[in-house]
Amino acid sequence: MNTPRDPDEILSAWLDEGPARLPDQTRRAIVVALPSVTQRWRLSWVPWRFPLMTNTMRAAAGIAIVAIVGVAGLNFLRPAVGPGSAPSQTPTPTATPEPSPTQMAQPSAIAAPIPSLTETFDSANGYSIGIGASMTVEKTDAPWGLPDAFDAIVSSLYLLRVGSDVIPDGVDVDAWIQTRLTQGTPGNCGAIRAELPEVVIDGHAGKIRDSCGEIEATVVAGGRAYLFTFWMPEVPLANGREIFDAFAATVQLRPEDVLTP
Amino acid sequence: MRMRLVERAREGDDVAFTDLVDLDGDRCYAIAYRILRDVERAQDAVQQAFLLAWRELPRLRDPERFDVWLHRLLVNACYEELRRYRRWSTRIRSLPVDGPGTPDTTLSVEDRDTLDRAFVRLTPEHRSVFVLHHHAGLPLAEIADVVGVPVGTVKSRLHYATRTLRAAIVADSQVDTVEARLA
Repeated sequence: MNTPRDPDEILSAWLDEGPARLPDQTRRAIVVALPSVTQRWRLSWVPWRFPLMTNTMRAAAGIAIVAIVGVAGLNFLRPAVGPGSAPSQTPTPTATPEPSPTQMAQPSAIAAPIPSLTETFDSANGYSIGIGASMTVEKTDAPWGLPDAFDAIVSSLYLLRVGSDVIPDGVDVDAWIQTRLTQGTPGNCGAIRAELPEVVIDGHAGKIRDSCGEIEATVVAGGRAYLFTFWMPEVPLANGREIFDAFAATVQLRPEDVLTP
Repeated sequence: MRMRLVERAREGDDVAFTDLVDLDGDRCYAIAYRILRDVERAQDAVQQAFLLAWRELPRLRDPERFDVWLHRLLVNACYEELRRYRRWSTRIRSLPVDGPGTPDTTLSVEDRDTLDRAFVRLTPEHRSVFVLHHHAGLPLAEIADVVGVPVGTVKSRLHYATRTLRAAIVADSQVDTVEARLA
């Protein structure tokens, strides 16, 4: 058997598998249930929202809501047929095989402008970094390791996730970071950290990987490990490394500023 | 044509709504199956989403947002199925009666098993973002609208899910290589 080893190709093939046509029985069950489900009508004279609400209007609205909830509560006591019970009518499944196209194929790489990082984001995780005026930042206070426990610096073309955590005493740093890369966050794209090229961020030595559509640097400062992952979710960037370097040049690592819980 | 169907259905026309089920049912089912990895639960989720859509349709302010709105109902129905599944069921996985669609012959059994195992370990939120982007082809901004989180969170979740699944394949390949060397 000719098995593709490109991870994206395998993911595409896997995602293509599976039924793509809603079974007729399910379709019929939905249609048959429609008459038993009463539509919730919006009163036509009620606007979607009042443009300006005075205190009097707010009070009136509050009273109205209390009244509506009371009536709804009474109605709730009566038995009713609703969509909550309807799905139990689902008949025996008969999935119709039909592949559907997936979107895993990557478009051609483009060169993005090098960002002007004129503003500074100070993280609770012991570092600061320059960001562009049009970028947004989603902050975290959690240590690097959980799925969403990263600061995310977001632009329209790329995402930079940054996390940090304390390195326990007495561990082998390379091995500890490797474990965090392959467990706390998934994978390291098959790379062994100790074998990766060197990088220096804010005067601190680290390792960098540029593969699998992402650039990832891990740096150690003051007993703390920092992870920087630059990712291009929609369009690969021909100059991704240059953009990453632009961010890296603005980083200041301040492990002493992290508040310990 | 489509907007007209939504408008008619919003006014209580169940024939128009049936046409919408015909138009969108397959796509919703394909998405639900890929999030849930279970045909029966996918059917339940689709049914739940459409019946809720029918009930709440008069309150949909802008008919042009019907697709986003329907996807939101569908994703929420999938979350509910996953919660119910985790709460009550044993770990028996339901397979399609006539097989899992058209199995890709280039995909090995090991790959499929590896990805299935990695995927079910993802949270419902990571699964839905991955499927909506890579299967349904929705832009990230639209996914953010569907799942009700900022675009950055969508990107972050997509990144995590994609890495997890890629990593599973890479790890599996490395095991294969080692085993081949030892053989």
